[in-house]
Amino acid sequence: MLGRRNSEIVTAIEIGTSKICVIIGETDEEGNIIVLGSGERASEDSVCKGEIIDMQKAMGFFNEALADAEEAAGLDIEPHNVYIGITGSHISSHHGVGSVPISNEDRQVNESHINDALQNAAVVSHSTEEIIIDVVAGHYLIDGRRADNPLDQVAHKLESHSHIVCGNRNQVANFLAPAKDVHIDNPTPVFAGLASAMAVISDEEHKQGVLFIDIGAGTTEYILFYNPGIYESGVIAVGTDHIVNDLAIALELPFAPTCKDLVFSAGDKSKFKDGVIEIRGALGIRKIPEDTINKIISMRLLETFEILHEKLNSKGLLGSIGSGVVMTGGGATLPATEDIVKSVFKMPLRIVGSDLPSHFGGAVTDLSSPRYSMILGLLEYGVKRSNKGSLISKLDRNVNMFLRSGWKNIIRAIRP
Amino acid sequence: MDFSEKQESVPDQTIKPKTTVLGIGGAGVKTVKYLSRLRGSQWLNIAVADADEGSLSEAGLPHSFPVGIEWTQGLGCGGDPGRGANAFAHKSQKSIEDFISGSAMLIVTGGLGGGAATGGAPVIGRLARRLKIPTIFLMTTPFAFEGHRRHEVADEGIKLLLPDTDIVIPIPNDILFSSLQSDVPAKKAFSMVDESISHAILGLAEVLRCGNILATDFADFKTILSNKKTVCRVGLGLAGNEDGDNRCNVAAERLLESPLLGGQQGLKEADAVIVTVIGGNDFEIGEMKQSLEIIKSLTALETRIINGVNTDTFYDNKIFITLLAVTFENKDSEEEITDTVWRPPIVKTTEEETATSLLQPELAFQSPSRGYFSKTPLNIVKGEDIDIPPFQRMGINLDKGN
Repeated sequence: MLGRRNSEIVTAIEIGTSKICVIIGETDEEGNIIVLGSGERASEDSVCKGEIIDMQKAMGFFNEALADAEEAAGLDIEPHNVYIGITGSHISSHHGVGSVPISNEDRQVNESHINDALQNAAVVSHSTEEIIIDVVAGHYLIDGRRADNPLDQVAHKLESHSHIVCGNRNQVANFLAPAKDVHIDNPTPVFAGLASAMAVISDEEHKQGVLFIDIGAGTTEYILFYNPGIYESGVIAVGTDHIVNDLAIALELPFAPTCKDLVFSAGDKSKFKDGVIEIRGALGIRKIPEDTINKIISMRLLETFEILHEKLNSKGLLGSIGSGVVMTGGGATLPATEDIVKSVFKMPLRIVGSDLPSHFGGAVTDLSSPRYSMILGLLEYGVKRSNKGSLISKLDRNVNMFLRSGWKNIIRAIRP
Repeated sequence: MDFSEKQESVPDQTIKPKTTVLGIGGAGVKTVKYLSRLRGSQWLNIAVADADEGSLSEAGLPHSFPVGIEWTQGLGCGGDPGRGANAFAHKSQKSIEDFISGSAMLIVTGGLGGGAATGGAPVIGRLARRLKIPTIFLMTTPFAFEGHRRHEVADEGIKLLLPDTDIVIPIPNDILFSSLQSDVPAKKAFSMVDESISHAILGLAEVLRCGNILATDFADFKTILSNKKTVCRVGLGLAGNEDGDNRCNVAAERLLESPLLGGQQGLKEADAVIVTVIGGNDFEIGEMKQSLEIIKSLTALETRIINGVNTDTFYDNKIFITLLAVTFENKDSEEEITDTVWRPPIVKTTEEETATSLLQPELAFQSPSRGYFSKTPLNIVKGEDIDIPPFQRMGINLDKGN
């Protein structure tokens, strides 16, 4: 395979609540992300609320998905350049500050200084049970003056302010276990919300400050971006499965497939006659009022967004969102979502649709729904981080920096 | 109250909890510094908070709270409300919280348009709500010459503040122009704002302190101002026996000359006016009536007037008229976003009830069920297990069909 390709092969893995998914891809000369092959299996209750609860089953599905992906791509993946999305209620984040004196002769800030400042910021202030997953650079202070790009400026001291995402050591290890089981020794964990945002958020949106939300089956990830960094990020362990569960309890109908179908076809007017839908239940035909279904869906969505709104509002952060809200994930496709999000946040809303950003190409036919934002974004992240060559400059083994690609250059990766 | 009783000139303060005045941000600090020197401020608890250590040390007040110092190096928020909010939201909040706890009322002052006050005000608003302290925000908005950006920030700041507080009194610095010569240097203009606002705060605090006869109280302010975007002006007029027999007229004249009132025109334009007359033991019924009539004659017919009359021995031989003129920005409140989203009726009222219902599942329509999540760990957010369906936790009945 060496010499045949211009760029490294990258593998992105999602161990999600609704699906377990593998995508293999690479980049081309223009920096586009080319999908070579993908494979997927439904998680079937092996993952719940974003966390693996049946490891054997999850590993089995992962192996099958991987095999499908390799077959589609026509290659066997390498055990390096493998990236895995991490989520769950154990994810936490905090603000990191690190400083470094500028002691070279010309006193000009160079990339090595920037990396050192970021390294110094990447300190976990919590327990030893936490590890750092991502470090996202924000702004810098040069001798106390704010600078978004400190490179080549003259200073005595450089201080970096960044956003650190941490996870519970064991929970993160859980996500990496299926890959390690097939001898991928050093898979890279990435916060799922960050990966998802990579595929979705444009430079323009990022510039004005944007609230990004990914509603999945098990969890809802959120990131509040400001220019240049991240103010706040996190995970609410509520997803579309909760809506399904709410219906199942309220209507005393089976979780799957009945209530799952009800949730995802709630907007389909053809199924409702005179405001009622007919469901074949265990004891005959049930007539369920459309109004009840809508109310249950709305209550859950409303509560979840109000929880998020309160988290951000209590820190006074909502005022910094210039572009409004951007949403993706399976939950974003529900008809009720749009009005509710607008009502809670009172700002413009963009819901990711089924057309992929233009820089994705290759075998993407089955991947063009908001449900795939995370894994596509993860592939993009992996591609940018893995490639030597003109896209990025690799400075040292532990810290990579990718410049020259709009807002996404804020992601620094530090291996835990 | 027996008018013939002789009382001490300074009322016993050990029983009643005090009103606290908190100045936030550069302008707020200067205003409160000025306030601390005014006679009549002895009844107030005074404190200042800022991200700029220089501003705090210059004011030299005993209760100074630096906020967000780790972030800003004590250099202030650089006009960034986001930074202001973060500065006030973090651990420095605890010392502010300790100081204001137990206050009868809180008056917060600052200049909107920059970082610390604009960002910090909603944070303080929420803190005060949590501590159940009635709060009034008396905030200034920028002069026109300060530029478009500061105005935008100030405007946003008011919008963000309104939902989290009961009363916001925004006072445009520009009102001062009605009484300023054009050759006044900008620096002097700002210090005049600080002085005028400190008088206004004192006036407001006195109105609320002295409530007895026909008291204007917090609820009156709340009725007029709650959750509405307004522009406010303040008039103060103090007169004494030395001003002759017609001391009410003198006080009213002085009120009309108040720098933050914008003259008679300001009064005429008001949609609502809250006026309080405070006198001492010698205050006569006739004077009360006269003062209120004077004000009434100066306002438009449609103006809503809330009158208050208070007495306090501090005002023996004096008469003090305070006036808050309120103009609503959106007369038909079209600002409210028409909400088509159905919201479930609130059945529970207190946090205690929520916690108890976790222990007594029979309170809900069915016993709370986690269904699909039964075998997974609890998902507790703010004291509730959110794996349980919202309709169960809220006790709402739903039509299951047949």
